[in-house]
Amino acid sequence: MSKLKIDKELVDSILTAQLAGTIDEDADFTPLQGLSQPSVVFDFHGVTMLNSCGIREWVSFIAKLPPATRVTYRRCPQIIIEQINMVHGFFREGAVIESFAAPYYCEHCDKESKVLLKTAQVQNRHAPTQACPHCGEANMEFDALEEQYFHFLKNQG
Amino acid sequence: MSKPERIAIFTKDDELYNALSLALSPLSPVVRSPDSLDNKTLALVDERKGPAINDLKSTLHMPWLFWIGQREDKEHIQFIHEHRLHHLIGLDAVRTPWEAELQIKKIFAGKDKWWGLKPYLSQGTTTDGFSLSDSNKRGTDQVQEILKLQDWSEFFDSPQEHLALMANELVSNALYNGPEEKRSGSAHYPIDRKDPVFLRGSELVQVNMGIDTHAVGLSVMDCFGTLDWTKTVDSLHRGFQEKTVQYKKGGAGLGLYLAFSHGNQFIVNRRAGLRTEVICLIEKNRRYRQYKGRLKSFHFFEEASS
Repeated sequence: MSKLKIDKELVDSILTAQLAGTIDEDADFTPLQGLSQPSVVFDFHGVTMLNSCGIREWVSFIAKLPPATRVTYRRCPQIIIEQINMVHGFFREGAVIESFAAPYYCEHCDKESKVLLKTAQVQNRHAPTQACPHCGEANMEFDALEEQYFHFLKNQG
Repeated sequence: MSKPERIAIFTKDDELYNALSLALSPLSPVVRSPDSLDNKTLALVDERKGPAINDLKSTLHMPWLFWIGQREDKEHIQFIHEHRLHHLIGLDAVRTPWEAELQIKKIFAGKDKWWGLKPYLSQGTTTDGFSLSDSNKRGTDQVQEILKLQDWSEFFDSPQEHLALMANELVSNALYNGPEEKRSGSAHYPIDRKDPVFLRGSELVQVNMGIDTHAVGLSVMDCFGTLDWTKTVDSLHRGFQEKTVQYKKGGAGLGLYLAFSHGNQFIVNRRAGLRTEVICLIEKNRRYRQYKGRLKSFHFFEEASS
């Protein structure tokens, strides 16, 4: 039984699909088949796991979308970013990655934060400055290896 | 094979040598860079500050060889694949002596003490676990329950997500690959991962997890023993080289690669035809960056057929 929940919303001919749960071998993308909208946004905020068979299911699914469909990936969680840095094919060629979570660490209050970054904020694979949401410290440290973590952005214009 | 009679450490790094010597001397006499080696010596080779790499390759025939590498993980897997290494320690300034002590202790302890998380967690550490005999939910809910029981205060923010994924991949492999390969004698008739699987009789997949002062350990053990060195290393090698899913009946061909990539130490214990255990360790760390920057280690312990 699929542990993936998909909610759809259509506004101004842009379809937004919110995905939540686990993308695995049982993931059922039937609710998204036959999409005819020119623009589709996939919001991954609620996705908690993406396993190897789930990547295969996803790659098969997006390959069936019409070539002219404009695809956007929104709010990709950190565990998803890690997976797509390790396995090719999750991002459809030409798709836009709008936003994703990134780990930061505050030396001042010793707390880690997952910050939602817009892709445009990352220039030359350098993490933007972020203030600590816990203590207000102005400059948290990016807590991953930039070259490795931002690898998935290499094909983004 | 009997136990080694001495340990030879090849390194030019005095600090590392002193730390390793201190950790290992209770197990056996320790010598530094001896001129000759025999089959009763366990060799621990630091490629970083050791002799030239070509000289070090003369140690590759040793029955007990622990290689300390400082290259990228992908290169390490290539090296393991090329030279049929069973033990490669990803160099880490702080943790290498601790890891070498744990892994080499297993060689001296004897094969009956290889199994489970006990060799890796401090004495008295409590572990939590469960058994599976079918593919219903693949233990996902039980893993989540165990994860909730642990104290994560000394870890970075997300080890639970990594452990849940590693458990998922390893449990699926154990349930789907092990029984079919054992019964058919080959891996050519894989089961579709969407199909249910029911193990027979006393066949079980056992999952355990525990945390001590150094690390969190995850163990997934089957009672089939079909995952041998060649399958393990070929799978890791393909994962690093190709980084793509396979479109075939059965798994996507990346489960071991992902389990390896999300941990710090990847350990396999195997008794051919009887049981295989995959253990993944994530070392205690407050910083995600250090967890990701740690070069990964690989260990394969094979019980010789009796």
